[in-house]
Amino acid sequence: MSGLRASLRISRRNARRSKRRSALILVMIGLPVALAAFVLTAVLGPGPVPDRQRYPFGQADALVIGAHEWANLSQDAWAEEVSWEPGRKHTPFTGAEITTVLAPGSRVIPVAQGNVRYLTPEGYGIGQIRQVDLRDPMSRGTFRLTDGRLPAAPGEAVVSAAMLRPDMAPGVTLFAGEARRPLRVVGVALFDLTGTPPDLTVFPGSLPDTAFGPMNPLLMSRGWLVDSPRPVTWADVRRLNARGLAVVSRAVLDGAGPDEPSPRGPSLPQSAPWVAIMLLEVVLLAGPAFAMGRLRRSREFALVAVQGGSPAHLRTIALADGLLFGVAASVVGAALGVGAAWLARPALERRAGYLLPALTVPWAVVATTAALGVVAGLLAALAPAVAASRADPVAVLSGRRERGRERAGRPLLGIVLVVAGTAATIVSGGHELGWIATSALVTQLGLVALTPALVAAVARLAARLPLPLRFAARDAVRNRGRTAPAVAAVMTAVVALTAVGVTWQSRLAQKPAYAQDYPKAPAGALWIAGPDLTPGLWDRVRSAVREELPGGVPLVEVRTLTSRSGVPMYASVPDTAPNVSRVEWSDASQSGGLLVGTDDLLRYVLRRDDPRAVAALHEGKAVVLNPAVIRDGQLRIDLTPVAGPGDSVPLTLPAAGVRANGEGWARAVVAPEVAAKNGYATVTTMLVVDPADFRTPRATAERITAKVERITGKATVRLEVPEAPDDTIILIVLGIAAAVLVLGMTFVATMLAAAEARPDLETMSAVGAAPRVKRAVVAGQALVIALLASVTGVLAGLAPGIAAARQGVSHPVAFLRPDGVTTIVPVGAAPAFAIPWALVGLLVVVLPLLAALGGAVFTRSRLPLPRRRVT
Amino acid sequence: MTENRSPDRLPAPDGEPVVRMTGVVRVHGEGTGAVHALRGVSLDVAAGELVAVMGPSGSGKSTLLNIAGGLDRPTEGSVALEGRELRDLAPKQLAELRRRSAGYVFQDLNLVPSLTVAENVALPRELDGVRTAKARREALAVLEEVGLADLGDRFPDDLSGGQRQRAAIARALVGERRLLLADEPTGALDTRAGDEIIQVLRQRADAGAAVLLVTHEPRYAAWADRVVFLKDGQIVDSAAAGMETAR
Ligand SMILES: Nc1ncnc2c1ncn2[C@@H]1O[C@H](COP(=O)(O)OP(=O)(O)OP(=O)(O)O)[C@@H](O)[C@H]1O
Ligand SMILES: [Mg+2]
Repeated sequence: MSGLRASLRISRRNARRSKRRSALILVMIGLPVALAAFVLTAVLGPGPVPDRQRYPFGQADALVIGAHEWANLSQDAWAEEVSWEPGRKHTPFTGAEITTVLAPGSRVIPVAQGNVRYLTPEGYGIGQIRQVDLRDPMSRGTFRLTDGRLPAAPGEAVVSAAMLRPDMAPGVTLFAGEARRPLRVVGVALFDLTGTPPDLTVFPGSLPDTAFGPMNPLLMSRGWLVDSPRPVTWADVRRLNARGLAVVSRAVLDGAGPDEPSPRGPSLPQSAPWVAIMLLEVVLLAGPAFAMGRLRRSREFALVAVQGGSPAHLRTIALADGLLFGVAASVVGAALGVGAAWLARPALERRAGYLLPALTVPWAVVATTAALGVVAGLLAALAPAVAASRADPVAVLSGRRERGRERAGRPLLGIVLVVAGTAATIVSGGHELGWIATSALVTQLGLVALTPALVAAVARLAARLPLPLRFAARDAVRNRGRTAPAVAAVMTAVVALTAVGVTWQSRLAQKPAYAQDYPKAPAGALWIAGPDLTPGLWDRVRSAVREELPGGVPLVEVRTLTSRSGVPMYASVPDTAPNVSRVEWSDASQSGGLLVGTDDLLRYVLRRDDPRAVAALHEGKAVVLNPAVIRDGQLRIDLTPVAGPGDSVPLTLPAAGVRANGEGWARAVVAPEVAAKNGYATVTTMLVVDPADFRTPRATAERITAKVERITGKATVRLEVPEAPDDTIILIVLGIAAAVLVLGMTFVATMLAAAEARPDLETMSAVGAAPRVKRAVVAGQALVIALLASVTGVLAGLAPGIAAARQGVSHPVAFLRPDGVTTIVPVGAAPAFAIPWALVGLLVVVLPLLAALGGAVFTRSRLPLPRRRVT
Repeated sequence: MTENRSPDRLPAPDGEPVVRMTGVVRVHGEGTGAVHALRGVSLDVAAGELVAVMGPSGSGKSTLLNIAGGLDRPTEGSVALEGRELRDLAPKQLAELRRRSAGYVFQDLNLVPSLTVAENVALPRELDGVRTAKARREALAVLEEVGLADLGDRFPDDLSGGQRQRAAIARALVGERRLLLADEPTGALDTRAGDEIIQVLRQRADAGAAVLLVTHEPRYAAWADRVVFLKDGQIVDSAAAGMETAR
């Protein structure tokens, strides 16, 4: 194209001349690009966690584990598949023995890791503990100290930032394992996510080897980090295998190449409708700003035309604006987004509590985003460009207003699209969100095509309004080419906000909306669950609860089985309910639903007094709520310690089947004597105030919650009463977004309208209109845009909102009740619809009025002198 | 055809006028609201000739100029520019014609404010596909001819009114254009600057350009080879001006 360079030069100079408009356009295109680039880089940037590795290399060259008895083992590169014989007695290699079989000059340090139960001042916890010297250069890169110092002596530990709580903070002493070895926390660190990241890393010698469980190459439970003067090759690995060592070598893994890349990021069909909606919004937003630029420069365009600029030249000059701003905004936006993601990494890591994998910028995706920004700029400049090429230079130069050659949009196409889109939205209701978004996009495009006709309709309605409003409406119609994109931009934002609001509110109305809202105890019950509390903590909790309750209110004590040394036992009580592997919500009792207690517990669990059940309990029988699982009068359960060594052991008890009133609040109940007779101890895991005894008022429950929180963070207090859905957050989040988008866009569009209507206003003031008339006109212009856009937008947003709300729970969600029973949320619970009236009111009433007010306040009421015009 | 020749060495007039208008009628609007801006005007301007157009406001002077350069089209009649009939040309071809054959100068605000003077003058050439550097060389050459050799890199806002008009004249002539259409080029200037502009136009005409000048000032008509009086869209008088005596 001839003259492109000249066009770009003109664009560049003009961009510099009207700085505010340029900044506005740059922000409107650049900000979405920057946000997208930031999110994409932050989400897709960190590489995958090496999921086949059990322990991070850090600076080490290899990781070895072995025992003399494992001689002639064979393994794959990752030591995921190792032929060895577990269960037998093993004699692990010593460090000295390993050094002799490695390349001369190699150095090794011991590492151990395993799941260990530890006691904090607020109760028990179970988690991965690593024992390794973090000060050793080989550990470098596996952690970053954020507070305190590294352990330097046995008995010292750093806590993972992800686990940092008042009871696991520097200065606190924990007790780990069966032997209750003291561990003093001296620092806080972010740990690498490779393998199972540790809760605590302790100095070598803090815990005995046995605390980490049996030797296991698959878990890398007790091994050595190797610093070798030369890479450990596959040949070395085979040689060490023969000796009985399993080896994971950095050199071998690097040579094996990366795992096949898992697809990163959402697929194209999934993201296409959202990208299209974003693009539409940006184009509609920036469009009026480009139109404003063209108007301001209409004389310049006319001059170029006079000097021989063809319509194509004029289009090029106007499009050069789009290209220039698109490229500048996208490049800057993408750079800022990527840069921000890079800078935000430490903050993200601190938030996550872990070191994130190395950041590789997803250039392809970021480049696509930037390209879309350029496309948005070009599309936004397209309509003004066409207008520029059609303008009559003689009319412009002689100061004659161009005849309104504005078309009434394409109402027929609009109606067809709106009808088709709405039909598609109804059909797609309850299906995947992408379909709903696509249908909504079709409706939206139809509305954009219809907007000029809508604007015209409004003007007809405005015929009987006072002058400023009438003028504003007439002006809006006369300049449909400018009004329509502004209205469409605000409308698109309102549609999105309304749809989200309706879906959100409906989800809340669909009570219980979330797994954690399902009842976990009988209605009206107050329960305090704390399977990890010590008896001492329970004493404090118990007295705190008693203080708040009236005298004589019984507290039902729920106990569960532990080993004699106090390790909780998980009881798998047979059940006929369907099996669901995924538990989404848990108040975490590991009991498995086998509760230990007395008559009051039985009454609570069965929801009635049942003399036959009480008699059975006293006879030493297990009271089983699902009689179908009793075989020959016996209940067979398996008991597994939840931590430490030991496999599951079966336990068979005489049983009596008793159905509860309603669903029942345990699987089985046994008396404490039965536990003792079978060689088990018990611990308190829950206290309940049975609503049959006392209905705890909400205020009391809140006071109890506060007190318990002060004693321990490891207990849950809950009063089982239906809660009214809390929708304030909807209002706050969507309200702020609505205010920013609607007011911001209306403001831009109004400034544009006011600039264009200036000659008329000048004339008005020349014939004696008061300055406030100008304010009123500008306010009217803002009102027309905001009101029309928000009313249409709210109406158009209802359909996709309701369609999305119809999407019920699509997969079974399971949650664990505090009595240890897993409950499944039924699939496809009846959908409910609710409209967020407060948000609608804000959009339809408050924001348009605010926009009008803003328009009036920010208008300069003193009119500039009419500019000299040239014939 | 993009050969760099200054207007000083334009081919000598060969008898054929640069622009020939025959029976031009221009009606704005339709029906009762129709305005007859021109009612059958015929006019030739030859190379080397400066023709002044005078007449009361609204008599159709600007319309005549716009039609002569292909900015506007006659309702009836024919216009031939350098022998080419304009009636059948597409807008794109008319634009090309303005780049290569005819240049306009208006009363003021002729220059694109965001471009330097040299860039303004080079604009028609660049739009015509001439490389930037070459277009700039041509522009500087023409600027020198109108006496603005040193001001090429200034922005229009930094020039005086007279300098701006001279730059506009330079732009109207760059690229061997032989028809210069000036619509009250002195209207926004004081007497002295106005005189200078007329002298520049006279020089360009003497160098071989055909100049059509609209003016209200009888003084400037004296510089013309011919004066055409328009009234109500018709030529009421056409007189050879007493150029020798005026000088
Ligand atoms: N686009 C148009 N629509 C309607 N009428 C027009 C249009 N352009 C010009 N006219 C009319 O045509 C007539 C001639 O206009 P023109 O601009 O040529 O006059 P002029 O001689 O240049 O006047 P002035 O000395 O004031 O510049 C006027 O009556 C004017 O109102
Ligand atoms: Mg005129």
